Amino acid sequence: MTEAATAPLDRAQKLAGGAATVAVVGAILIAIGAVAQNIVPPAVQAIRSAEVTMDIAGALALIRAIAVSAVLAVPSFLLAGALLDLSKVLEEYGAGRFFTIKASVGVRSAAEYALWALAFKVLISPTLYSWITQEGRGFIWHFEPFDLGLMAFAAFVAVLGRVLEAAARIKEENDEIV
Amino acid sequence: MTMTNAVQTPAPTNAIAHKARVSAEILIPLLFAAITLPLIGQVYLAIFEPPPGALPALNAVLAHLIRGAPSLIIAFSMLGIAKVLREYEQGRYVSLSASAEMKRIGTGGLIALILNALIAPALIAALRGEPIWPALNPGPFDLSIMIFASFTLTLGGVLEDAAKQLKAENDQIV
Repeated sequence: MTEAATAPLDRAQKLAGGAATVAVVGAILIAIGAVAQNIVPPAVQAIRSAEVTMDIAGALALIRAIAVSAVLAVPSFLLAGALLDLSKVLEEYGAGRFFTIKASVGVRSAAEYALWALAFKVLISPTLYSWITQEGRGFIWHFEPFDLGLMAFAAFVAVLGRVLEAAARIKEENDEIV
Repeated sequence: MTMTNAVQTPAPTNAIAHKARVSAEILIPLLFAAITLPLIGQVYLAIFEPPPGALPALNAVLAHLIRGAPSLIIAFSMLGIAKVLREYEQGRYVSLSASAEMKRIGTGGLIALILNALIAPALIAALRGEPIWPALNPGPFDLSIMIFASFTLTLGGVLEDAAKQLKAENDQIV
């Protein structure tokens, strides 16, 4: 096999390997960013307003302040999970394994995490936050038209992963038969 | 490394791809409708029934169009789904056509996300006569969705390179 024939594949594997590392770093940074934006300020506020004292009641007040805000950070955590799944896919590609069950399941799983993240962002997190803080009783929607496009995008990746997974399973069965 | 680009017509997988393609061909026009119909209504109201204290009609219309542009871009990029799934129906899972289309979808998604998170808020703030810098405040969710879209693009690029290598191998054999 000539070098010219293997060059695209070598490039693909290097790209995938590098992207896998970036995905893991990205996931960690997103989780840290979500904590810094959604959880730390309310916790600091609770401490400053003397709700948090050095006893069990104070500890419970701090946990409550953090837990309430953590509900709003769940979408970002789920997306961080999606990136970790994508990193596993890219590791497989970096090792030259392009058509495997592990890679395909990773693609599907990442997209499903993204869909759940959108569901939390649009409906579940705002509703839970409203119920916990007793601001309201019904369902709260934070829905923008762009969220619809994002759901379509994530659904496309999920379908892609599902089709590739089914094909990879059949290929594996065929390879065993051979 | 062993790889085939033509898994021999696995019927269940082709059926999944077929159902997905048909669903996409039905749902994508509905996606366009869900995005454009409210946008048309907003533009109509901005021109003919502006609320008191609203922006001038032109500014209001431009603001609505800029806000709707990312959604339209992502919807247009979704048109490529049918082509990808058509390739998968034929059993061509690692093909230049499918991976190129995947890259296009990923590129469209990424452009839409950058527009939505960074450019549209700045332009809308400018149209409203508000400071631009405070409008640029993408949250962790927006940034993480951008990273997700960019990795989808990377997946398309990796599969495209793999397909090119496979084609080069087959051409050599011939």
